[in-house]
Order: sequence, then C-alpha cells, then structure tokens
Amino acid sequence: MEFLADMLDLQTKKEVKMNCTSCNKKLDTIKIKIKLAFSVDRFNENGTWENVPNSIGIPEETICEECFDKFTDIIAEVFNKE
Amino acid sequence: MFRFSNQLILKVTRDCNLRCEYCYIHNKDNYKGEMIDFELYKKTIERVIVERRGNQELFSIIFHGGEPTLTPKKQMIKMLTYAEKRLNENSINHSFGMQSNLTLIDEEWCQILSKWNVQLGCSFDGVGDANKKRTKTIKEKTFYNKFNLLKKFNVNFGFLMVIHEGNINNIIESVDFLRDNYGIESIKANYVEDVNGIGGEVSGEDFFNKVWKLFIDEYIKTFTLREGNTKHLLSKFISDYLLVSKLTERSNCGSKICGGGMSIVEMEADGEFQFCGRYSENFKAARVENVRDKDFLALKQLSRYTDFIREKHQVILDAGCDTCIADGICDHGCMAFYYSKFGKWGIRTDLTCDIHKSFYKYCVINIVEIINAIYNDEKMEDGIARYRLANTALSIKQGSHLNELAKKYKLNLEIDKKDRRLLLIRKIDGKQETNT
Repeated sequence: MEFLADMLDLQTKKEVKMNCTSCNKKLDTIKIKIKLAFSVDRFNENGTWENVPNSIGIPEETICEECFDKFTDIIAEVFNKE
Repeated sequence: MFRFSNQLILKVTRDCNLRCEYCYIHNKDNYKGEMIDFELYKKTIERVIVERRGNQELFSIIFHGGEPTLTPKKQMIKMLTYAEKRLNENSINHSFGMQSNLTLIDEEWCQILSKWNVQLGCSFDGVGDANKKRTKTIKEKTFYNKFNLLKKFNVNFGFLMVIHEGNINNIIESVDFLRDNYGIESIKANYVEDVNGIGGEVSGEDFFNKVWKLFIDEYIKTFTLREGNTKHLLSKFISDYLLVSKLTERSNCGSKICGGGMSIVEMEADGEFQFCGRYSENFKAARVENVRDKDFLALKQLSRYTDFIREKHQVILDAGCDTCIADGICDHGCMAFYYSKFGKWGIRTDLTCDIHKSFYKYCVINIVEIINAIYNDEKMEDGIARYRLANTALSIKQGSHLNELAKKYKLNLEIDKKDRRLLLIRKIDGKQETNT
C-alpha cells in the first residue's frame, strides 16, 4: 500500500510545479513516474546467496511523455531482441 | 548520485597546510590552491535537492579535505548560507559537519561552526609526542588552546585518532586527558595503512593488543566504552555470535563490501567522485562519475557499483573470508588503500585479518563479561544493538539457558546455581574451556 500511495502521489495531491527530471521540460499535462527496484546478492563460499550491503535501492525519475517514449523504445530495442 | 546515500563528503580542496607522514594522498603539492568553485557547489546542492526530494532520512554534508579551513571564511559562510536556505526551502532534512586538523581554527571559525551547528571532527593523535607525525612545528599546547576555543563557543566537536607507531603506547592516557580536560566521552581510533611506503604503520596484532583490547578490558571493568570502532565491532560480534544474524547495514567503511560510491558520496573539488575518497589519486578503475554528469535512474552509478562488487567478491573468495571466524565483524580490508598502494584489488591479510580475528577470539573468551558490561552500560544508545544485547543479557540473568543456540554452536551455557552467573563452556580444538 505504501508503494502504491507513493506511486500515486497520494500524499502530495496539491498542485506542485515540476519539471521532467530527464529533459527539464515543465510538466503540465502528463507526468510519468518510473522506478527501478534492484538488489544485489553474491554467491558465497558457504554455498548461499548473501545480500550485498548498500545494494538495495529504488531510484526514480518523473518524466514527460516524450522522454518516456524514448525510454521504452530503447529498452524494447535492446531487450526484445530474439 | 545522492539517491542511495545519506552523506556527502565534500572535499572542498585536497590542499592541506600539514604534511602528515601517514596521509594517503599522493603528490599533495599538486593540489596547492585547489578550491571548489561556488557555481559547482551550487550545482551539487541543487542535485542533492532533486535526488533527495521526498526522502525523510537525514542527509549530512561534511566539509572535508585536504584541510577545509583553507577555504576563505567568507566563502564558507556563503556556502553554508546557500545550502541551509535551499535545503530548508525544499524540506531536505540535513546536518553539517567538518573534519579539520584544527591548526587554522580561530574565534571567527568557531563563530561560523557554532552559528550553523557544524559538528567538527578533530584530527588529533594524542598527548605528548603523538602529533609529531603530523607536524614538527606546531606545539602541543597550541592544540589545547584550540580545544578551549571550541568549548568557549559551544562548538559540537569530537576526536579522530589515527593510530601509528608514534602514539600507540599512550592511547588510554590521551583519551583520559580529553575526558578530564574537555569532557570528551568517546573518541574514534583508526589504524593507519602505510599507503605511501613512508612507515609508521603498526602490526595488526599490536593494534589490537594496544588499542581495541584495552578498550574492551576497560568496558568489562567500568561498563564505559570510550572508542567508537570497538563499540561498533562489539555490536556486530554479539549479533554474529549470539544472535546468529549478519548485519547488512548501510555503511561506507566497516562492512563486508563497503560503500563503493553508494552509501556515502565523497566528491572532489572538481566534481569527480570515486568509489570512496580514500584513493590516493584519481584512478580510472575507481571512478564513478562527475556531479555534472547526467545519470538517468542512477544507471551509471549502479553499473559501477556492480563492477566494484565483482572485484570485491573475487578478493573475498581469494582470501577465504566467507569461512573465517571473524567474517561477521570484519571490514574485509580497505580496497582503496590496497589499490592505491599496489595498483590492483586485494586485502592486507597481515593487517586486517590479524586485527579482526584477534578481536573476535578475545570476545569469545570474554563473552560473559562483555554481556554483563553491555547490560550495565546505561549509555549504549545504539537502538537495535542495545535492544538485542539487553534482551540477551536479560534472558541470561533470568536463567534462560539459550539451549538452541548452545546446541547449534556446540556451546554449553549454564547458570551457576550459587551466584546466578553464566557459565560458558566452549570446545575449541577438542579442548574444553570454561569461562565464568
């Protein structure tokens, strides 16, 4: 629920002036929030996966439609290859 | 850049007015007059704001060097004023700190530090001849005058001592002096690694026996722990040994795989930042990025961190750290110092292993006394550790036998029927040892 609330900006529904964190264009129609959740483990000598300190994070960007299109195009091009 | 970190160590300059023998920075004379540009500084603060927005955790900005008090006072006031205003406007929870050799501290500096509540870390190696490796011209009394000034202006200050062959024999005396004269309750003692081959380094065994062991012994007797690293290691030891949990905390130094440019960002005056600030020069292998660089979703930073993890992982496997007794408490060596000295990644097993294995073994032998000290230590404010340690001690006091743990670790834990003290019976190398 906390994640969903954060994604939906439930706590900041007030009008907030924002710029695209990629191209810096003023956001006044649509803004798209993207987050990358990541965590790194290493396979240790004891035969178990061990979490790496400092390796859990969720960086985020709030971007305009154009930047989001560029982002999805690149991801699709690189990772959808057969 | 600042999304994962709670701290910016801002090296406003690598220039310094002292030439400490053990300083890890190569070719310090090359940085004479270096100073961060105010426009770059503003850009850095603005980036902090963008990347920390909505994050409620405290973000610390530590002015570091070289020697940060080489910054003209007007410039420092401008920097603090700008940061304070912009961070407050954007509700960024923040604090300021500074690490200084104190030599340039005067009344004006004290006023600045006090006004902006800048917590000052003082580099001071102790009483007597302890500071001879830092300066041969500045007299011991000069430092004491600086301490008095800091006290007079109510500056919040603490001490970092670098332990070398020039001060290792009088650490307790120095800590007593600071307590008795300036009310300092605790210091931090770091061991030196001789990165530049000048000397001064002490062996791992000596460091443990003459520094951390003395603080453990004192803790057992007085329930007062006066050294920060010892306290941190004791918490990790208890978690590892009695509670069977490994701490995967956020940390720069001190964890199995250190910050690597994630938990703390240490930025040079030109905006460059490496895996950490302990590299003796700007090595390509350790570079992360520049504060001016764009880094969408922190992808560059994440990519460099995974590069670092891969190197450290290999180093850990080569040294056999995963199966070492001290794995749960060890910092697994400073990769920055090793790379600076040898030009490749590795661990100083002669230093790191000796210190941490000695620490762990000593704690095992004295486990009951240590638990007793923690239980009686009213100043142990480290939340989780305090809670866990207190509960462990309490369960022992109440007569719980901790049978499951004992079975798992082939320990016999019993309460003495007469005086209710814990008996710990541990088999080491087939021999049975009992501690009371």
